[in-house]
Amino acid sequence: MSKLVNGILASERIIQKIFIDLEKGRLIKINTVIVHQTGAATAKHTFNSYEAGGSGAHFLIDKVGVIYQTAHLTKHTHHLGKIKSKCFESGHCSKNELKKATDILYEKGKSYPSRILNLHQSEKEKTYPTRYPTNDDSVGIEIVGSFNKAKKEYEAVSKVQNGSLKWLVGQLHCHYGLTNLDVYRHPEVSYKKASEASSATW
Amino acid sequence: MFLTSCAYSGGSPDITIISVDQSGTDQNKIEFCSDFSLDEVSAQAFFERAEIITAVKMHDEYSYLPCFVKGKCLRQNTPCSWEIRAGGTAYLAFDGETIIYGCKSCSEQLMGRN
Repeated sequence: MSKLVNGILASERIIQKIFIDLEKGRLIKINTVIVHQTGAATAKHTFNSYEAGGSGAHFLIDKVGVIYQTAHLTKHTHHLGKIKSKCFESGHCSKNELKKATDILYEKGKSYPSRILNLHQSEKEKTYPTRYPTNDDSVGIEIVGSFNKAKKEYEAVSKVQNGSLKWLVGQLHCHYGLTNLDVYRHPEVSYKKASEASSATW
Repeated sequence: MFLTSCAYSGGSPDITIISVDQSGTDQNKIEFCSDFSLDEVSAQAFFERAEIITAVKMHDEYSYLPCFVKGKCLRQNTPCSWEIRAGGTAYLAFDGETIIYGCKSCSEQLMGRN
């Protein structure tokens, strides 16, 4: 069980380790949860990165399943990156939506990063659940896991980490009225390596 | 597929692009990736502008797109292979080691063919 007080999820299972510099502004509505992997072998590595501000999520699950809260749930953080087009990825665009998405994605004379940025900005005009989640309406959970540069893939999420993830997602379901349909792996919604959090379960 | 036999000798003191061997997609995004290609000069320019980044920085700051171009190179006279991704990241592999690069000022190299 947990209590939600002023953006802090209070529980004996959660260690509070808030990094103010991760917090970028108010998080008014929580629609979704995004599951990430850090790409680093230890929590300490990620905490060192958080000390410098920049990108990060609201929670971190370390290698032995300990849960840290790293940002208030009343603040948004930069954890998602550019979002994909939900209707384009799922094959359910209207004729107009499809034309707009393909015009942006296949635009000649534009670099690939600028096409992705333009599609992201176009998608942000929609509301959830018509679009994928953004930093403005999602909670991020990072799971500590290294990235194997030779194999170009993330290590598997361990059983103990998945146990902690399932408990934490359950608490967020309870406090924010979410369902499992509102929980996404990072590469589902943004342009990231497919193996990131691919072995996470909740 | 692009095969060449000419070495591009200018540019970075660390990396010399030898060849462009393959372009493609790893998620069957053939149409999206159809105009992504690099020649030796563009690949060389990418590595001259790029910085070495960690896997964490790749995750946090770059999009990972399905389009790639691969080839061979020399790094300090050691044979290497390279892979540049359309989102602005690259892998360089040599002697059992792999380095990740990122470039945020490489729009010109990531433009695709018109």
